[in-house]
Amino acid sequence: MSRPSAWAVLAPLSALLAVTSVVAGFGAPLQPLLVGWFLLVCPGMAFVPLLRVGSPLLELALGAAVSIGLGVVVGQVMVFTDMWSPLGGLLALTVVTVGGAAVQLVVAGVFRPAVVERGR
Amino acid sequence: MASVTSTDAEPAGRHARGTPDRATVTAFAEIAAVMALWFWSLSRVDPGEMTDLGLVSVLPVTAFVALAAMALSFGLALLRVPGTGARLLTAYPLALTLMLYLTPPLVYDTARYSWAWKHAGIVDYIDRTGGVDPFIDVLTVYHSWPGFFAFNAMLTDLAGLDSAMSYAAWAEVFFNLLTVAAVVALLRGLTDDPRTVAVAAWIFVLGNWVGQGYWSPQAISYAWYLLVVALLVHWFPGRPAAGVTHAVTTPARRAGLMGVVLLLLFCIVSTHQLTPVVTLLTVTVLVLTRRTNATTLPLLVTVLVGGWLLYVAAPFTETTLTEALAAIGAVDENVEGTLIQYDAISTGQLLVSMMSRAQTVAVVLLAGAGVIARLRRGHRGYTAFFLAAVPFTIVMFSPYGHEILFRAYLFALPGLAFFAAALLWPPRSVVTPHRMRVLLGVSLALMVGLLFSLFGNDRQYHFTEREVAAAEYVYDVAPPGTLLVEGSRNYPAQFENYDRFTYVPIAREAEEDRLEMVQHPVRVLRRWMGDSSYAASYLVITRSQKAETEALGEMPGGGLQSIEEALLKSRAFRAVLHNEDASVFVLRTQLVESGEPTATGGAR
Repeated sequence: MSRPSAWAVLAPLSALLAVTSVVAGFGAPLQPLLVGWFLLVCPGMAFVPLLRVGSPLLELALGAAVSIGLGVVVGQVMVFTDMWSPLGGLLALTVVTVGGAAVQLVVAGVFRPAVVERGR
Repeated sequence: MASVTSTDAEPAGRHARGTPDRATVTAFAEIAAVMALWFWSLSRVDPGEMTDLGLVSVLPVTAFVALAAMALSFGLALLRVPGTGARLLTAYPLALTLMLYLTPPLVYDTARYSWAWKHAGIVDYIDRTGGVDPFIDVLTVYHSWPGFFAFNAMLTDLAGLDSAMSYAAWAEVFFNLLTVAAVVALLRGLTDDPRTVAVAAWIFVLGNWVGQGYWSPQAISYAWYLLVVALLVHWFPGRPAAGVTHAVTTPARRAGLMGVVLLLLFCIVSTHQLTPVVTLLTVTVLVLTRRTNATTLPLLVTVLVGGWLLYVAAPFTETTLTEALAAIGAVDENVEGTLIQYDAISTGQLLVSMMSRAQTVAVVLLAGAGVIARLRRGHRGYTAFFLAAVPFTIVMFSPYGHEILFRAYLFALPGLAFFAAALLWPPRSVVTPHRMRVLLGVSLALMVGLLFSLFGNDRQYHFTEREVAAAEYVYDVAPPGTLLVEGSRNYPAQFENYDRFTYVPIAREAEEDRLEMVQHPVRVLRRWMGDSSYAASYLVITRSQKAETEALGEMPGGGLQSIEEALLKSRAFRAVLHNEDASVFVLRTQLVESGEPTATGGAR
């Protein structure tokens, strides 16, 4: 059992803010900052802390690389299937991010399956 | 000065109670002061005064002082920062990266490199149409490897931005920082010594003059490549290497790490054309020589590359296959095409080119000496050797748009930098002032070379807002099916509605046609632009086009300047936009036919 990374909260929170900024149309400078921060860093950082790579620099680099990688995959799927929808892509990455954060919390024991105590 | 070995075990730059030690605090204070001096120096730069030596011709003396002070501070920190606290020394290559690559967005009006603008055109195309067209005539290759552009189209749209050019200039900082972080991770898989790692990363930054870290598919693909190799070397080692403690992890984490490797491999294959080839070669050699135990990866990458070429990118592959096959094995032609011809270029550009070559040769020689030194000490660092050597084999396969030699050097650079560092600051060596002095001398020499080779073409590679205004005018008003005659390809072009045009860059025409153009510009351009098969015709001549054609000696006689002057005087043409840095011309007869307003000649 280990402590979850701060990213387990920060990444889904960033996703929520990014989606909100797009749907509500915050505009510049807030919307580009929130969307850029989320797409470039957060989906990857929802998972990479699970790997315990040992170096904060490598963790952040991997987080950014994986985030862009996931964005590239989602973008290409939309392009090649003629289903271009940036908001749909954002929502897909949000689901991925929330999933990664949930795994972090489960691994850290924050979420535990309910145990019914039986009488001895 | 205390002599300590590089690997004395002490807390990472901190005293036992967790407060940073004085040497580390001093180092970070020096970094902050040097960066402040650098950025203050940039505020005094006027890019309009630049000569054909590039940015270096307008940098104030304080900028050179800042760079020298950074090198000195790094050398002193190598001596002062204790034990494993030396891991924090990687702050130096990262800080130097920040200084270098924040410079273009801070000094220039807009993103440099015409290719960045072309990339924005693909992003714009995807954003407008929701797809790609592998059969399109212009910038065809990007439609078969659209990953980077699809991601950026999503980012641009969601951020509510008009164009990816809103942030493209800043991407150079982001990608270069990511690359250096990946290089540090890779180097830590080659040696445990934090000082050698820091010196190698420092050499990497100083040796990386190739300039592929701008907003482009190759920038992110390169970072992915480095991270893949770093993960394989560190977490999936084959034979244990001397001087390296390989990471121990659980099966679940290994599975997660392999998942990351597979994702990044897929992204490399689907985003860029050259990086997958280097990745395949490198991974294959690492597996065959048992440097990594991920034995199925070569087959997997082969299937991915083959599948992409033969299925997704089939239209592109079919049209270029003959040419690509002819280039295989033609090493002389592939290499020769990379090197600029010295007989035509300007004196300043000659110096810049020679500096670039000298920079490359210096790094390779340092690395070669490092290989010999390590062999004499009994080290057998084959992993680093393969990383340095294997990328050069790609010169056998393709000229890659006359860039293959320098792209090979870029891929080899982490390995080369490791061996250079192994010469200058060998792993587990005794820390001495003599080493510091030698490193300082080498650093200063490489810094001078880097300023010329990284920023030496910036007179033509940077663009002003007036040039962008001219290009925006054409791309906004021209109807589909327009002929666009350009002085050269080097200006902010094709960033929106790029598929509406047929492009004819004058500088790419045959020599006799360029000569005729300079001698009789009005007559020739009336013929070209009077072609009624086009919906409209425009001619764009800009400052950066003139700078490039002059620097490379591409235009005879008075060049683009004389063509522009002739058209401004001609009654057959009208400048629908004319400012200090750009002119846009149309035929007067075309204006009459289309009924467009004819008096937009002022600067926008």
